[in-house]
Amino acid sequence: MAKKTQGSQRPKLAVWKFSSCDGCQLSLLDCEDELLDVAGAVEIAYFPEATRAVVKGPYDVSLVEGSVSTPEDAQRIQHVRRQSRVLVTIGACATAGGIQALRNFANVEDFTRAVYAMPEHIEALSTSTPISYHVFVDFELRGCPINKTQLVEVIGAFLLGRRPNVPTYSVCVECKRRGSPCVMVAQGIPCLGPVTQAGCGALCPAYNRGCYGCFGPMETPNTAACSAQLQALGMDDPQLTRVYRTFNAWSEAFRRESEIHDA
Amino acid sequence: MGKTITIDPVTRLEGHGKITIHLEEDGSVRESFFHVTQFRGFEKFCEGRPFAEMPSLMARICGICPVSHLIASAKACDALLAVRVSDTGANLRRIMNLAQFVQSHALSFFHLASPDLLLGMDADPASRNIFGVLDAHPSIARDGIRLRKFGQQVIERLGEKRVHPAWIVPGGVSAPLDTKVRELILAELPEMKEIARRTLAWYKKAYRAFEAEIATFANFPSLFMSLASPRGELEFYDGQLRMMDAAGNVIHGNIESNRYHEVIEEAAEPYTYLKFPYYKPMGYPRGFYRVGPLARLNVVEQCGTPEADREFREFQQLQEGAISSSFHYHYARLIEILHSLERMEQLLDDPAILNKRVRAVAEPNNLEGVGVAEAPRGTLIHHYKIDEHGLIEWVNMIIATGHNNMAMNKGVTQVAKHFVQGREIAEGMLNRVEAVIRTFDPCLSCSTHAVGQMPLEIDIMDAQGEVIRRVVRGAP
Amino acid sequence: MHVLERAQFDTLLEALQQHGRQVIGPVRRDGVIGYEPVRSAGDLPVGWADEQEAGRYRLHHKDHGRLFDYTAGFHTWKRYLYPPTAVLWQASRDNGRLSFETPSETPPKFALLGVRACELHAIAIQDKVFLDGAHPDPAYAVRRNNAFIIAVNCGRAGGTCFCASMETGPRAQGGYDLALTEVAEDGRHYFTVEAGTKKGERLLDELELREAIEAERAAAAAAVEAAANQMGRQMPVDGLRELLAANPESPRWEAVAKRCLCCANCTMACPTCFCSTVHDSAAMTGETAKRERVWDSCFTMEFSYVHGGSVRKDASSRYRQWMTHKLSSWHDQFGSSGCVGCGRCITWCPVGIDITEEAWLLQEAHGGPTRTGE
Repeated sequence: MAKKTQGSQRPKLAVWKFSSCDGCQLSLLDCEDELLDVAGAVEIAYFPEATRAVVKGPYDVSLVEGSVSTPEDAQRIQHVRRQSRVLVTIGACATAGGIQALRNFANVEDFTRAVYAMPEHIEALSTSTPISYHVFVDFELRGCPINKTQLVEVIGAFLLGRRPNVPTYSVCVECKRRGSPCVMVAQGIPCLGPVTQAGCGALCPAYNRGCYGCFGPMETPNTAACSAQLQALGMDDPQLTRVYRTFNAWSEAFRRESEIHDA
Repeated sequence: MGKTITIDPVTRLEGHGKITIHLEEDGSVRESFFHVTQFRGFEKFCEGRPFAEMPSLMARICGICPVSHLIASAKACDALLAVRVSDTGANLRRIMNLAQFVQSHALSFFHLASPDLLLGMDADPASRNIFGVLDAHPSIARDGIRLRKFGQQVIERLGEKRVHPAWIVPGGVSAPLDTKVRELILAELPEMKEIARRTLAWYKKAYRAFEAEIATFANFPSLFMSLASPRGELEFYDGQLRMMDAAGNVIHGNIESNRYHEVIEEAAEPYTYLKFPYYKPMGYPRGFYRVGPLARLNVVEQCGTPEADREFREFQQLQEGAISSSFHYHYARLIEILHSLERMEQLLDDPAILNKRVRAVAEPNNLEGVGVAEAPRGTLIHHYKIDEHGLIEWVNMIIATGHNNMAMNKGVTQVAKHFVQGREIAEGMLNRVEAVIRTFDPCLSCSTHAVGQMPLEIDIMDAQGEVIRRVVRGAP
Repeated sequence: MHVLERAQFDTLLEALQQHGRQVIGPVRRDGVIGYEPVRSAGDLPVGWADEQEAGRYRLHHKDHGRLFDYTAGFHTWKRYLYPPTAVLWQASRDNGRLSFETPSETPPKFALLGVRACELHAIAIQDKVFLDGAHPDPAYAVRRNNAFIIAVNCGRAGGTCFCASMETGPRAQGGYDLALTEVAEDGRHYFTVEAGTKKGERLLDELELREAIEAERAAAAAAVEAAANQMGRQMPVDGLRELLAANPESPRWEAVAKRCLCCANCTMACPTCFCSTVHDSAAMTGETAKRERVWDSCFTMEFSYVHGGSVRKDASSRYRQWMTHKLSSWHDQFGSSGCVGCGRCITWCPVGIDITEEAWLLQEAHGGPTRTGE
């Protein structure tokens, strides 16, 4: 573990939450072995999940979880950006609007009315949008949830001033390295692996499930070719629309492809 | 002129919450509220999706207790399929759920609550956190980190990831237990039980220093609800619902989970997006009840594992009838950790746990299904209706934090009345208002399945409802 | 040539294991034949045969009890000789002093069971890449030199096989320690066995097998002959090297790019593709660091990343790079084609892009003969 230096000399890390499930920021507390290193290497300046203490900004690195879904969020993210030297968004909510962005395809009032007895008290924007729609983002860490090894890599990279090593190629690369047979080819199971970014370790195909796109679109997603194959495996248009509309529904490539099949 | 105090956000909670305290002209507390003010809309966007997707979608409600949502959702799907999950399949689900109890309770106790208990409610907020505990009481902090890691690792070993694992599926689990995984878990259990024992031994001395808090932290008579096994033992995965009154009498037992709506109804209030469930025969708001560790230990007759039962009998000595102070949620949580470890060991010791038949396969046979399980924070209910094609038509969920909503609000008022005097707001008061909420270990992400995040702030409002002062704590 | 009866098959596996070898062979898992550790003949895919087409793989069970009725497996042997992930070095800082260490892990001594003729050629090609250059790869050398190779001649060709046209099969012509041919007919089930090296001969001696009689030799030869005649596909090899070199601007590249997912499955499944990248990682404290080598693919953006961006931005340029390297510039670089005709890139492409088909279409588009010989 690094020698603890004077508080003011250690880089200041802040963790912010917007609309989300908390799973991504908790990945930081899940880094049990690295947690002590993190605590030694950085000053945890703002992390309401873990501490009430507040160290004044500006912050060297801000981790932002969650999407912008209320008018208050939209203002707060501006404040966060102004106080952050590096702003890293973590998880599908922050990078793509999250599962709650499914409301972007519908009328938000239908939603509030369905859920609340007194919907007039709900102050929700009509959309749930990624942080990058609102402010400049230095790095986006994908996943629903994020991979904690990648999180440690990203924090470490920014602390040491190097580029994070987070691949943007397809899940297939990880799947084949792992030695899992292709579920599409061998079992005819629809799989989004070829158009989805790696990072999960190709978990679902290892359990004979198709990938469902937790890490969002890969670097050069050919969703049209993927959809053609899913159709050949028996999926119809409504199913195709749904398959692209999960946790990364509002990411550009998945949104466009889902709309093509949404009659 | 009266005022309102707002605490926003409430820190060291899983999620984001806000408290408003309304004062009278003379500065005394009139009432206070705990707010959930964001919106995610799960019930609605699930409509039209195939029911089999529900466990994966619902796990995304919460990153702290995704396993609970997986289980309640998968059980609701089992009901749609009308299948009986094999004993091994059910026990494997149980093991993952117990692991989640261990990790979630450890997070709540060590990472979130122990700074108050170890460093004091009035300590400097800069060090009153898990990192401060690491400095001042490294062995306790390390125990907590170790225990949580164990729970998370069991989930990871079974489902390959800690948050939102995909292993629990309608009809059972997707893969049988690997012999090696079983051995790895069994090998670590003795050390974990030792941590649970020494934490309990330490806590039983430590809590006595918090008399004022015990007396005022949501300490009032209420109903309690939880699942219990037919033998009246702790049962997190299955069993029947029981409602108990403050005197410790079962007033409604053997409630089959799919008939929950015959005894529970929900009310809405304008200041929060979190609804208020209540016991129907008593009406709203009189029929409010508590769920979670304290409720479970009040409701059951025994834990069902030897060491936890010894602790349980000692715990029962705290008070005649039901134990009423929510401060004792912490104590109950520690007993449940010990129980979870013992139960996990029992389940893993049985060779049948390695059976390969772990998943029942069927097409939907019912158009409506209810799944109820105990989450670390209390009873979790998922209720689905599907159409003839297996697409979701309607969803209702009652989450643990929702059941406790009324009790938390009353608790905040009780603490505020005791610790807030006039317009001066001391750090220790702010922290106690937060700490009462923390005893319930509310999951604000769950609360916002419909919602999303819960800013917690202290607003000071005058008698006319105008905000005269807002103390936004925790936000820079 | 000797004869190993089916009932004796375990004696072969036992002998290999007694020599301290880990046997890797065909194993049925998740609906495919992969190459994984094998202890006894019971672990082998008894009676299982594959059906392979572009983008499709299925297994079928038959009653004939054959051990090697499948064709090219899902895995390739490079998984064992050139693992997907390997630590190259680790470094630590102690009182400001940096020290580096090479991982000292000793890989098992493998016996690779069921290596097909095309795969023997693939191993030979990777030998050239990793061992013949100015900078041989020591980790590969250890694994490769310690490996004992038991080839199995194909008695059946798969739907995507085209080794006959690449002149790499179906009969093993060298590069093995032992070669087996499976014969199951007229109520008998046995293997003819030939040694290809001294190591192989010594093992044969230990097994004390009898000599094959003429009828057995003939039956084995006929089985391999049948496979050659069943070949599912054909690569138009004549002039292909020059055709590819001459047509980097062919409209065919845009056409195939419409279907190509750039998912990299073809390169991962290919038994000769050898590209890798290195990942450096350091602990948060900066006290320790390591460098890992992992399989890479020319289908990723990072593969052609130079200052300012990726050189091959679109799928057309990436597919062109892969196919042209494999079938044309490989000759310039290593003196042979980089393709051995195993058909894996065809079967395991999720959308079923067929490299032989693309070669024919390219030839037709540029005035060469068509498949029907026009």
